[in-house]
Amino acid sequence: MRHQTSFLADFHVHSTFSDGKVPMPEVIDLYGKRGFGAIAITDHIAEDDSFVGKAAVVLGQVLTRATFPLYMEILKTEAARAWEQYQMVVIPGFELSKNSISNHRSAHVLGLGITDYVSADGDPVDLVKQIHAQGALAIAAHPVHTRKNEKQTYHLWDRRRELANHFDAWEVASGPFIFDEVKKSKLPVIASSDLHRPQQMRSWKTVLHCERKQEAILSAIKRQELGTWFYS
Amino acid sequence: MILFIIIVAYLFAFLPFSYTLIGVVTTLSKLLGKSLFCPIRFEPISILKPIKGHDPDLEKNLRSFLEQNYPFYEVIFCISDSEDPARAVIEGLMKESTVPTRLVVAPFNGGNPKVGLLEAGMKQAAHEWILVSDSNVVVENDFLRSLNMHMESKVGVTTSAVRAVAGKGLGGQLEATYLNTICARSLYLSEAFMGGYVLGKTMFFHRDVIERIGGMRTLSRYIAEDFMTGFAMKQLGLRVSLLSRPVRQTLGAVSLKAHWDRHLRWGRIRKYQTPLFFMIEWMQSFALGLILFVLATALAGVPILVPTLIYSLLWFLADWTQDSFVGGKLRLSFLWAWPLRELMAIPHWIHCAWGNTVSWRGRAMQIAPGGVFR
Repeated sequence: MRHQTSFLADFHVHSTFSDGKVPMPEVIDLYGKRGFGAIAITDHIAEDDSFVGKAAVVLGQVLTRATFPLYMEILKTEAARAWEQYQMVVIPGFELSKNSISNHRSAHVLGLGITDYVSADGDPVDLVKQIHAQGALAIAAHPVHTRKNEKQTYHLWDRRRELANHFDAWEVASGPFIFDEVKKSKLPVIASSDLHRPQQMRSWKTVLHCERKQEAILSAIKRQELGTWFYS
Repeated sequence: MILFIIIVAYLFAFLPFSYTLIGVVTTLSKLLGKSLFCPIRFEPISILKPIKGHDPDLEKNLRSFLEQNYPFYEVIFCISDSEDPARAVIEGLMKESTVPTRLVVAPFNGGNPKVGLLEAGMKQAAHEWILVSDSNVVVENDFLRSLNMHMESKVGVTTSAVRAVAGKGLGGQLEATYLNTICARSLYLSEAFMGGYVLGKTMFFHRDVIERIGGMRTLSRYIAEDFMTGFAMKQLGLRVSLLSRPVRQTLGAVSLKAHWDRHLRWGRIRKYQTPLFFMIEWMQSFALGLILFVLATALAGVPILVPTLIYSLLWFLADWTQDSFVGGKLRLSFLWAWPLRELMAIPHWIHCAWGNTVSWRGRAMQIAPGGVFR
């Protein structure tokens, strides 16, 4: 018999494998102790071919081909612990980060439920295809102005009509801010914290009502059987 | 403009000198600190000894691990070739040992050959606490006891610096100079200020910690398994702990070419593993500091000779002090080995920057970014 419950989920969380400040086990405890039902760890992967991407690799701010296998191994063991200790599902993910000087050429794409490394090089449509080929979901991360004084990523939003059918969802909220323009667009959505440090727990999250299993969760996102909730 | 050049030149002459001084102070404070033992804790330990070939003083090195003043431990010798020249020595020691011992033969199976041996050894290990120790390491009989203060939940891996001993030949003296100065201080400084990194000569951990990263197999794709072990500990939120006392590494006769090639391997691994640190490594060089100091002093219109001699002498004395404390004795050969090593540093760095092939125990390997095998 399927056991469905409502629970909070956060599908955009970073660890020290990229630019997060909290090691993965502490991230698990941070959410597990607060009763969350699911999270996705989504550390950054940069472009191999761009100067910005290469600089991020040198500075140790992103996942690389070399560190990815270790990332997946730790994710696997931590996911098992999270389930045993908190009944929380941990979904393996990444955030493909195309960063350019121009905000309109910058785009971040989340992959949820991934199994293999994907370089952030290439057109977003190709990246989405590679994510889907792994049976994972592709999410447009913070596609509009984040209401924060930081680097912006407008490229996906600029092409939203063309890309609407490619992405499984678009972030309607990131951190403490909700994006009205995404809400009004009628695009499929999720709400996430883009957590890099524990203080960012106070932010928008997604609420789901489904089985606590990765497939059920990803399916609920795809079918848009979800709500948004401000966690404070 | 000249004033700007003088300031920049002095800055880059004194920055590496300050780094050396801070390193010497940090190293001495750790070495002279009291080694603490927990008098009632004796968790059983499995010692894994990956061995390839007949290292200098192999019998003496291995014997030191069979004569530990510790109640519960075993020693597992791991070789990849049943015809390994070290086998006769190992079997001789096993016959006379009162400590439980085992010999594991694990043929090379791709990836990092040392990790392959450790993976096979861990399968045979009876205990939860594992000590990985290289075959060219010799220890005091209280070594295992010194580990028990590091058996705590927040420590992922305990490692140690090395005290280079019995270095013979030009390469041996250069090797000892490097290990006792630059290598030792980078470990002590890293532990004090940057969370530490792991040196593969000694790695002590609980089996669970390695299982949390997917087992030894996960590390086999990396050429520097020790560095990646430290990296993995940070990802788990665990500390790398450093023993205050260095272990002794028996060097034996080392030719200049063997010394150059060994450091070529280490340098190229660092280039791919920690590119940022590799990029600034050349700035540690005394030779560069000296050139900049002379340049700045000349531009400042001050007589060059006396300040330059003082600058050089202070740097030399700082390093000689560290070498004497880490190495355990005052080495007269340091008088020529130090300037030679410092002069070689920048050409060697350039050689490391150029190329991606290394040779390790007779195997040629190509490294890819991130320190994985190409």
